[in-house]
Amino acid sequence: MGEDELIAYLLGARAAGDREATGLAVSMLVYGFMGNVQRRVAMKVAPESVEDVAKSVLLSALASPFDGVSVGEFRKWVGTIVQRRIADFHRDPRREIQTGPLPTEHGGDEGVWGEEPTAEFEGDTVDVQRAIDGAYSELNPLHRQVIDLSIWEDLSAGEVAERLDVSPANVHKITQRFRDRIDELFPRDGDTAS
Amino acid sequence: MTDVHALLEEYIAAHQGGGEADPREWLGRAEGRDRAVLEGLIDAYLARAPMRAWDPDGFRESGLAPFAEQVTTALHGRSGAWPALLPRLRDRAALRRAELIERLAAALGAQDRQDKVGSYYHEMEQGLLPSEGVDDKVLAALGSILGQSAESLRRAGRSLLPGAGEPPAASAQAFARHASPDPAYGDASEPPPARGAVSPDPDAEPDEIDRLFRGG
Repeated sequence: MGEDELIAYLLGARAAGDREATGLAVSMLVYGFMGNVQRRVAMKVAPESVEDVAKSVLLSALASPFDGVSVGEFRKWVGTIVQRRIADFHRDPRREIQTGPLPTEHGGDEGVWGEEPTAEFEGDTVDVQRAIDGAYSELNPLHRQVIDLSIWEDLSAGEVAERLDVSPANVHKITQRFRDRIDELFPRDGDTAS
Repeated sequence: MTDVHALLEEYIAAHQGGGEADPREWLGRAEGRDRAVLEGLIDAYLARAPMRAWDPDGFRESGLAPFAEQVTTALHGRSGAWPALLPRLRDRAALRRAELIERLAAALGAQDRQDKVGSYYHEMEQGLLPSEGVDDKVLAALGSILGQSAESLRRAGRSLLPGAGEPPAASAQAFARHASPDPAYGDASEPPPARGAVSPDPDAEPDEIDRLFRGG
């Protein structure tokens, strides 16, 4: 069962009040997402708090109202909550819980999933993320596919070339250009990214 | 200067190889700006990485089953996120449930009604107690024990779904008929934990404790 199918299954189970089916879907999502959420959180919070923050992330994500939303948005919503819960951890030394679903108006992609997590984390990771997103958004669709396969899926230039019908040399060139662009867009001390 | 892209490739290989792939190990090999870039790249990779494939045995061994059960209880209960939250807050405060109940009863001036307070607290953790009936005095006392404000506990206790905790609608039967879990995942659904505590007697004349937990 793929990610989208699983979310759709959970939506149906919740709407129908089917506890057993909900439990199975929740188990699969928790098992599927927890590891990477913990890894992301571990880069930013104290080791003893990683599990607690990661559980907050998944509880918030799964407790969001799912009505009428494209299932593909779930992953994006998890990503948003990861950043916000990390920010919460650093902002509030008393570590007030942030879990209650407080649906905001559906004014944007983040809002439709429900609770508006509190503050965005303003740190180097966000700057790098912006640089990555910026560099990626400048690419045409074919070059994005090259980056998806060569960097995020870590395929060799030969494998990427074969799949996308481009030369391995071009794969190298596109990948290197992408890396250089991230470097340009991530501001050094005193620099302003262009 | 560190080659952050080489480190990223190494990290991805380790992650895809199924190991623990703790990113801190790789971050420890870079400094300053390189470390920040590597952190952002690893984060971007993990945000895009496919979710871990379902493995019922792996799930059982992961220790995540109680948390998943708590989330499920919260989704279908009447106490909002309390079933998933209160046990975590107890853990964070290093309190056993009996200790928490003892302190809660004392804070409410109900040392002699500890069993009843305990039953109601059990209902909060099991998603059985409608959160809107719980008095601010209870939440303030509980919050002071768990290091939270009454407001944050109140917020967390709001129902997660309209109609949650009520008897399933007819649509539940329809869903059960048409949307059975994949048999490959069938043995993952574990029975819910036993609900051992005795609920307060609904026929008894309400006393102060009832009013504090169920409203006037």
